[in-house]
Amino acid sequence: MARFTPAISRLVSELSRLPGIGGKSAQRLAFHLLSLPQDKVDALAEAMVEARRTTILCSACCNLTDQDPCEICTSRSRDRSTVCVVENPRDVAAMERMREYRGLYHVLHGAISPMQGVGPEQVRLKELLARLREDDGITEVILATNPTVEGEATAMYIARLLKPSGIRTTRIAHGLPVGGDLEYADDVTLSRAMEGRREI
Amino acid sequence: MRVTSLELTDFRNYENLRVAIEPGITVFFGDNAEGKTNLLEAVYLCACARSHRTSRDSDLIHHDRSGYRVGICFLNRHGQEETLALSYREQAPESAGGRAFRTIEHNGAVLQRVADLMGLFHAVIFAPEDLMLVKEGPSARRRYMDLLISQVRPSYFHDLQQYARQLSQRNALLKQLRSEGRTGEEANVRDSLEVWDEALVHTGSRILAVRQHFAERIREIAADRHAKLSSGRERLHLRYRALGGGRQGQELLSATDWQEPFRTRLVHGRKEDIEKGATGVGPHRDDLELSLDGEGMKPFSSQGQQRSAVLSLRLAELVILHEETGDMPVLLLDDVMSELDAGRRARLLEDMGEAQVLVTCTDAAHIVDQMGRLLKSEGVTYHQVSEGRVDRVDPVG
Ligand SMILES: [Zn+2]
Repeated sequence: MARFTPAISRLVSELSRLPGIGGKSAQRLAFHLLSLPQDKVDALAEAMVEARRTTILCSACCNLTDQDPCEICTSRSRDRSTVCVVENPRDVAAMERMREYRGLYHVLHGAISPMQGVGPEQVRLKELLARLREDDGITEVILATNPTVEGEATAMYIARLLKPSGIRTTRIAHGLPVGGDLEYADDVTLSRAMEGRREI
Repeated sequence: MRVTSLELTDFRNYENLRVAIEPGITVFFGDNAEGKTNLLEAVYLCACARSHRTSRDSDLIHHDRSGYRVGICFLNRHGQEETLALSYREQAPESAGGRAFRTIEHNGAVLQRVADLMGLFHAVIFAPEDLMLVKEGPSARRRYMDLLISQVRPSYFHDLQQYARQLSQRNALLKQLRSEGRTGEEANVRDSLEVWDEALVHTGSRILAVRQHFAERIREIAADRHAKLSSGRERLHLRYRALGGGRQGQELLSATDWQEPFRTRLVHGRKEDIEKGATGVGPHRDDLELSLDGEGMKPFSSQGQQRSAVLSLRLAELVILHEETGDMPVLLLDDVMSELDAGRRARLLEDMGEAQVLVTCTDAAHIVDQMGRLLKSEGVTYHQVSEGRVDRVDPVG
C-alpha cells in the first residue's frame, strides 16, 4: 500500500472491509470513486451517511425503518394477530413483494450458529418473546427462517420456547418450485417435498 | 454406462489431455508413477466427486497451477451422450468471496449442489488403497458405505452433508459450554443443546435407516462372493454397528424407529460430550464390522484373506449399483490384476459381465494372460502412458 497516498490507502482499506470485496476489488472501486466528479462522490458519501443516520430498528418488529414503530407495525390494514419471523430485513422485502401476507413481522437479524458464536442471545429473540408476552392479540407465529441447518435449528428453538404459551406456531413449507415439471426437480428437493406432503 | 472420452486440464501430472475411450476394455500401461492411476482417478471423480486416494482437492492440481478440471463424455443407459465436468479453483474470483471453490457441470449446465451430481454417472474402482477397508479404522468403511449409497440415493448424500454441518454446530456449542464450565443440567443450556440434538436425530435417523438397509444387502452379497473365493472354507461376516452397537438386533428399523434410540443415547451422553467437546455417538461413529468366521478381520487374517474380503466388498458394490440402476457401472481396475491370484481374478471377471473396463498395469502383455478369455472375446484398446502423455498403440503380443 506504500505506493498510495494515505487518503487512498485509507479508502481502499475501508472498502475492503465490505462483504464480498477483496483487496483488488477495493482498489478498483477506490480508483473508480477517484475518477468521478466531486459532486458525485459527495452524493454517494451523503447517501451513506444519511441512510445510516436515519435508519433505526423498529422497537416492535426489529425491522429497519426510519420511523418507530415502522410503517408495517403501524398500518391499520395489517392483520395484527399473526407474526412472521424472518432472519433478516431482506426477507421482509421478499415477503412483501408477494403482496399476499397481511400480518406483521419479526426480524431476528441472524440465525443460531454456535460455529460463528451466535447463540439465542445474539439474535433478536428476547424482543420477540417480550412482544408475545405483552401483546395477547398475537395468536399465530409463522417461522420463516431459511431452510438451512441454522435456520431450521432457529425455527425449532423458537417453536420449543413458544410451546407452553399455546400460541399457534407454524413453519413455512419448502418444496417444489411452482410452474416447474416434477421430472426436472432435483432429487433432494423432491424428497423434501415428499416429506412435507399434506392431506388435501 | 460407458465413457466415450476423458479430458483433463492441469490435473495431477497432466496439463492438457483428451483421450477417446472405446467400448470394451481399455488398457493403460506404462511404468509406475507415469500417471496411469490419475486417469482412473479422474473418471472416478466424475462419479462421486471424490478421489479414491485423497480428500484434498489441492493434491489433484498440476504443480504450480491454481486449479484443475476433469471432464468426461459418457453414454447413459438409454445410449444418449451426456457430459460431466468437475473443476476446482484454489482462488475464487473476488466476487465469489475469494475462497477455494468447486464447479460441477452436467451437459454444460452448472449444478447447484454436489448432491445433484450423484447418480448421473456410476463407476466402481478396485485399487490397492482398498486394503484400508480392512486395515484401518471405521472411517474407511463408513466412507465405503457412504460413497456407495450416495451413488444410488442422492438425498442420502444431502443428508450426510446436513448431518456434518449439524454435528459441527453441536460440537461448537459443546466446546463453548465446556469453556463456560457448564454441565448441561441448566435449563437454558438444555434448551439450546436440545435443538442440536433434535437436528442430529432428525437427519441421523434417516442415515441410520438407509445404512442399515444397504449394510444388509452388502452383507449378503459380500458373504456369498467371499465363500466362493475361499471355496467355502471361510465365512465373511459383516455387521453394521450403529450407535455403538448394543440394543439393535437383526430387524431393519425405519428412520422413525431410529429416532428414539439415537435421542436417548445423545441425551445420556451430554455430560461426557461437554467434557470432550465432541459428540460421542451417532452415524459419524458407526462401523461396518468385518470378521472372518466370527473373529475380527484386522488382527487375525493373512494378506490373502484381507484381499478376498476387500474384493468381496467391491463386488458387492458393483452388484448393488447394477441392481439399483439397472445398468452396469464403469469398472476401474487400478493395478489390481497383478495382485490377484487366478481364482480371485476369475471371480471378478464373472461379476463384471458386460461392463466397460478401464484397467492399468505395468506390463501390457501380461494383462492378456491375467484377464484371459475376457480380453480375447471383447474389444481391447491399448494406451501407453508415459510422462503425462497417453498414446494409443497397436495390440501387444
Ligand atoms: Zn415494526
